[in-house]
Amino acid sequence: MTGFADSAITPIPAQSGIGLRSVHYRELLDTLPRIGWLEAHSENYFGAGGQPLFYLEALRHHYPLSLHGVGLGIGSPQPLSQLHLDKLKSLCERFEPGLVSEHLCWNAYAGQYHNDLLPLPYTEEALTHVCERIAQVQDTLRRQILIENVSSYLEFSASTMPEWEFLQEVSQRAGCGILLDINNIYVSACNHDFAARDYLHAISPHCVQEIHLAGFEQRNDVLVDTHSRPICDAVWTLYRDALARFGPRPTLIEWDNDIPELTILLGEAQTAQKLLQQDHEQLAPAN
Amino acid sequence: MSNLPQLTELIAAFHNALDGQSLDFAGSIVPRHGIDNEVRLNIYRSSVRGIQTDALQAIYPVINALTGERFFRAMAQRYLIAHPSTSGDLHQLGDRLSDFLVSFGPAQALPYLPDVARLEWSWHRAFHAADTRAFDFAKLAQLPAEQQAHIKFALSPGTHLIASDYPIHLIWQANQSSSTEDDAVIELKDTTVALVIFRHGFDVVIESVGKEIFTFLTDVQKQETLEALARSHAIDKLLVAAIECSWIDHFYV
Repeated sequence: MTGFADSAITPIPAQSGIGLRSVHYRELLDTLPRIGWLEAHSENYFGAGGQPLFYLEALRHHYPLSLHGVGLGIGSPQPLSQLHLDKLKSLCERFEPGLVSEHLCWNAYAGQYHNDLLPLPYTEEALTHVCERIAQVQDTLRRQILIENVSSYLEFSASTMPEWEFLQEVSQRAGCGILLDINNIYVSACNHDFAARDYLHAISPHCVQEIHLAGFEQRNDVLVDTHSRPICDAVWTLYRDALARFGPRPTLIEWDNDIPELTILLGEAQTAQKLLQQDHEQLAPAN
Repeated sequence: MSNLPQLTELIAAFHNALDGQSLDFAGSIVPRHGIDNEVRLNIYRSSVRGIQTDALQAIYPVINALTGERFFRAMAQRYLIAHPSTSGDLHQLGDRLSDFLVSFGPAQALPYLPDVARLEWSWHRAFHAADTRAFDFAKLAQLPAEQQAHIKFALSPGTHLIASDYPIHLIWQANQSSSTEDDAVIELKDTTVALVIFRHGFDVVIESVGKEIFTFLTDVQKQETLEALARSHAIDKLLVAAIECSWIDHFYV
């Protein structure tokens, strides 16, 4: 679906993987557990050298790698940081990741960064802006990227379309893939009172190239995407619906706060792997 | 930005709301569930604050240990107002904490804090610095003598120099989780120190050094030529020592 060459890249298999966190570097490298792939936060490897890049390099020899950005701010009204893009480009050239992803969000205004994933209004104007910026990133990296839906705790009254329509339209117009975060859909569905399945059904299977799963917390009647807990039953159920619709897709277990022992993460990945295999046996891939 | 009038206006209002001024933004949020807009905005405010404060705490664990977590997190809020984040890469956050602490009233009882902050920022930069390369002696030997006089040396990327009126390396050491000296008493008076912070492999090392080599490294950092360095330092001894320790890793003309 894109014109970008990706010859030297190790593809990410339709298996479960885990987010790479520094507390697990040594254990991962010593034990090399059976997991399909690893995903690293791009910005954690923006340094010039040292231990983080050493471990990423070492682990890259054993696992397919996906790079997941949390700081570019695709939707911010200010220009994308050239320094940030340059660092991302060098990282992609060095590690040849199977997938590269960013978030559908904004994070900065007038030079001040909030370092968070803040929701956008879903308007035609924002759609044009986001698509132009994705094109800029894809042209810089000379490859396709994936865009991930974020959790949100408020909606703009100015929005003229639901998030799922916006996301699908972004993918079609910009020629990027979709990283569908099932937990984020669940969290936003509860917070904004929509049916999570409507979201899944609005997304074309061929656009979805990766799935994220994570845990959330509840604060003052609002679900907050904290990546600090095991995946809840309702999200596992929604994940099965997603697999039934999209077919098996690379699935990542994300955990960023109160990071547990590696075995806990691997256990969650194993659960996802079982569902991937079951659904793979029961259903034909949707693309 | 003028080609995005509505997006810019909405995001500006959201941005201001995150900084506490939510009046302009309240009308832009869909009311639902009976959950107050301020509750929704507070989730974002506390999320942004939490992410940025956690990042500062990760870079400044000793300042956190010295001041206590409650003080640190309150101080971090004041710092972030004075010096908002200017990068999407959280590893860049906190570069001005030392300067901030110099004039931060509530921290005046601990006069060594700004220097400890300088030490932690240098440690952080050293940790992520480019790997040190081997000094090219052969290339140096090949230079004609008249050119050699004009060359300059460079500190390796992870090498930083800090002089302090306080024994900040001992304070740093006593506040590491590996430290066994829980009750160590550190004498603060008459203890000026000269420190070299550098990378040894992937480890960051903090070494207290003599005045002679510290002054030499400071002059190297000032980009003095070999000729000028030789005039004021015992160059043979000091240069070899600095190269052996990987504090100096290349020269340039």
